Amino acid sequence: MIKMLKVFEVIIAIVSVSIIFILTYKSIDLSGFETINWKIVGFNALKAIDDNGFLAKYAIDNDTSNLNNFLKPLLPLGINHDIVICFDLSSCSKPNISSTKIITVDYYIAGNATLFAPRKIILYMWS
Amino acid sequence: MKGQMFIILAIIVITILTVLKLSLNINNIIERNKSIKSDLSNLQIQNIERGIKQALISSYNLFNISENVNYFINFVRLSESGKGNILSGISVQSIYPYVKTGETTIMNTSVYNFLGLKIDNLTLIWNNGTNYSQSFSNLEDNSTIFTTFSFTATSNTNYTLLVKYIIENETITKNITIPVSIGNSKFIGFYSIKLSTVYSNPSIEFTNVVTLNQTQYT
Repeated sequence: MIKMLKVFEVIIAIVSVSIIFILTYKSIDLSGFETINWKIVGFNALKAIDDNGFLAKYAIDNDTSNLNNFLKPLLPLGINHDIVICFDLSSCSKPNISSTKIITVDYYIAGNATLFAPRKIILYMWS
Repeated sequence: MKGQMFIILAIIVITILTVLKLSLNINNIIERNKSIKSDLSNLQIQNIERGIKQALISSYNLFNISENVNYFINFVRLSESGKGNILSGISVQSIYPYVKTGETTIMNTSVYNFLGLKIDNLTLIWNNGTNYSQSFSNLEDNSTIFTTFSFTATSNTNYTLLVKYIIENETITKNITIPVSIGNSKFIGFYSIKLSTVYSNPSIEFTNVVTLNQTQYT
């Protein structure tokens, strides 16, 4: 009888700890916490290039190579990136990227000082 | 070990778990995560505002400034709808030619509805000393109305264009100042925009006044 009581107390202890652990930590959802930071960084990187006037220049010329070079020092190390420029929304191509941790940042421009040329710039970031 | 010791041990473990949870401040981290997502929506709407201003600059020497701005808005709107975001709002754009003292000047005004809903009734009240109003009914989403107003100025002054519209039984009023200066031609664009995303629904309102080259629009 005493042995059974001891086992019962052990079970109560284990169950209590388990319940508290589950209740305390079950609602923590930090999914996307890292990638949302990527989006902010990516967006600000594009904005910085836009501030200098180079984003509109290279986007209008469809010069993704130069844009990627501009972006490289502005993005965190270890994160790959690629740029797609859309002239119209039906012509947006998709780069061939095989990664499960990938985000996109959309940025719009309307043109430069002399040319009205709306473009959608999509920045892909992945690791 | 006595059975009660396990209970005591359990209480200690629970206390440690609770202290750990409090010290990690996980709720704050989650709130911060939501805040960052909201910040992203704000950045996006700022990007749209910037794009509209870029459209104005790039169309500076063209007669179709309003059309270009509305084209850009629609371009972004379509793109955002593909991601499940909704860009909605209204633009009221006015342009008048070179103003000569004491002569009647005609101002062209357009209203573009991209609110995502039909405007049941739209009233434009032009105040240039006396009130003159025009009304329009059933302005569908993604449609534009064009109209004109006139004024005779003898000195630099500010007139008012009151835009009143009824949508789903709600009346909304926007007050736009139209600065008139003798010897100038101006474009006045008013934009009220909202971007609805899963994270937040930021909105902005701004007016852009551009003094046009006198030789381009006389």
